[in-house]
Amino acid sequence: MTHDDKLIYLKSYRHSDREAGLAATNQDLYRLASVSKPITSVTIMRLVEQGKLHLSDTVFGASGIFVADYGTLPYGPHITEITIDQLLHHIGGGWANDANDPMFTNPTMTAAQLISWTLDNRPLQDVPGTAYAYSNFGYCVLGRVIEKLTGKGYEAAVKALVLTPIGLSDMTIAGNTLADRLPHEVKYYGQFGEDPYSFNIHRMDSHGGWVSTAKDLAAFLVNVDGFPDKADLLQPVTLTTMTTASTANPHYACGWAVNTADNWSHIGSLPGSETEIIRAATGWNFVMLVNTRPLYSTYDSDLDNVLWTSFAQLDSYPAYDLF
Amino acid sequence: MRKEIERRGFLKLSGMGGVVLATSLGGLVTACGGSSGDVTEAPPALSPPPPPPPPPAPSSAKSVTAFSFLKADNAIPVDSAATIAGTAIQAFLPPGTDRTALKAAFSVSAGATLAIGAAAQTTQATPND
Repeated sequence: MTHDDKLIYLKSYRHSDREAGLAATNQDLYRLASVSKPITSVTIMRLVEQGKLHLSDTVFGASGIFVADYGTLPYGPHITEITIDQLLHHIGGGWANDANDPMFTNPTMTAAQLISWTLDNRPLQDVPGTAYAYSNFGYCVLGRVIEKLTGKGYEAAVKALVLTPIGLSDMTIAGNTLADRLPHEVKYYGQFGEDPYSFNIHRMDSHGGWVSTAKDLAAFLVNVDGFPDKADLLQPVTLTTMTTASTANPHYACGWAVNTADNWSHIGSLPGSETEIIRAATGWNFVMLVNTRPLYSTYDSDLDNVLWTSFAQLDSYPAYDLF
Repeated sequence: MRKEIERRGFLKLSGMGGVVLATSLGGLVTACGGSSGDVTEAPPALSPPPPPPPPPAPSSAKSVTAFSFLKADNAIPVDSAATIAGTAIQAFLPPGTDRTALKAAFSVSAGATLAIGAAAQTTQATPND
C-alpha cells in the first residue's frame, strides 16, 4: 500500500510453499497474470514519447508496422485496419478472451507462429474500433510491436524502457513449469483441478507473463500514477492518453480499467494466481498478489472488496516510507 | 506504555498508561531580576544584610515533547515518529516488527524525567516489551 508515493504497508501472509513449510516473505515473486498488461501499455507509451510509434499506426499489412511479417496475405476483412490504440483498448475487432482465446491454443507454437496461425484462421468478429472484446492476443501482438521497434526481445525492451529507469531489477518473465520456478518465486496452487503449470506462460509475456514482488510492483505504480510526490516515467499528457477509455467501453483505457472516480486498476487471474493493482485518485496505490485462486465467479470482486472495506476503516497511517 | 493492537495490520503503539512524568528542580534555572549591568550603591556598613531572594517557583511542565522509534536503535527499516495528542502517543511500526524490546527515542520537558512504573527510562536505551 502506498500513499503519496511512499510505501507505508507491506506484508506477506500464509505460505509461499506449503509442502516445504515456507512462509511467504516480502521478497517472494508472484506471477502477475494480466497485471502484465499495464506494464506493456506503459512500454508502448514510452515508445510513443520517444517518437518511435503513434497510437494511430496500423499493425498488419503493407502500411502496418509488421507489413507481412505474419500470416498469409491477403488478410481477412478489416485486419489491416487495426491500430495500436485499438489493441491497447481491446477494440481490435476480435480474438477475445473466450473459449476460443488464441493464446490458450497451440501451446507448442512460438508467439510468431501463433500470430500467423491466428491471422490465417481466426477472422475478426467486428469492425475494429466498434466493439470491446478483452483480448490477450491483442497484447501478445503489442509485445511483438515492442520487439519490432526496439530490436530487442520483449522482456529486455521493457526492462530498458521502463523497469531499469525506475530502478527495478527483479521483475522478469515467468517460466512454465514447476521446474522452471525462479529463486524466491512462490509455488502456485490450483484448485478444483486447475493446473498452474500447464500453460505456456513464457509465451504470454506481454499479456500475462511477468513475475514481481509486491514491493516492486508498487514501485512501478508510483512511477506512473500521476501523483506529484514522485516524478513519473511518463509525461502528464501521456498518462491522460493512457487512462482515457474508448467510446466502445468507458471502463477500459490503455491497459487499465478506469472509472468515474479517476481510479485506475487491473486484475489478473490464472490457475494458481490472482492479482490486482489499484491506483486510487486520492493518492493511494494498492497491490495484492495471491498464489492460488478458487473457482467461483465473485472471487475477483471479493478480493477487491476486502481491500476497500478495510481501507474505509483506516483513520490514520504512517508517515514513513518503506521503499 | 500500553502496547496496543495491530489495527488493520499496522502496529500502532498508543497510550500513556503507566508512564510517570515527574518534574525536578535539578538544573532548573530561574531568573531573579536585575542584571549584571545594574549600578547599585554600597550599603551602609551597619545595615542588616538584604533578605535572600525567594526560591524559584518549580516548573509544572511534565510533557513528552517528542517520541519516536529509530532504526539506529531498533531492528526496523525506517524511523517512525509518533504523534502526540494530549496524553495519547501513537506510533506506527512496519508489519513484522519485533515488539519485545523496542527502544524509544524521546524528549521531555526541561527538568522532567520519565518512568514506566518504577523503571526510569533513558531515551534510545531502555528496551520495553
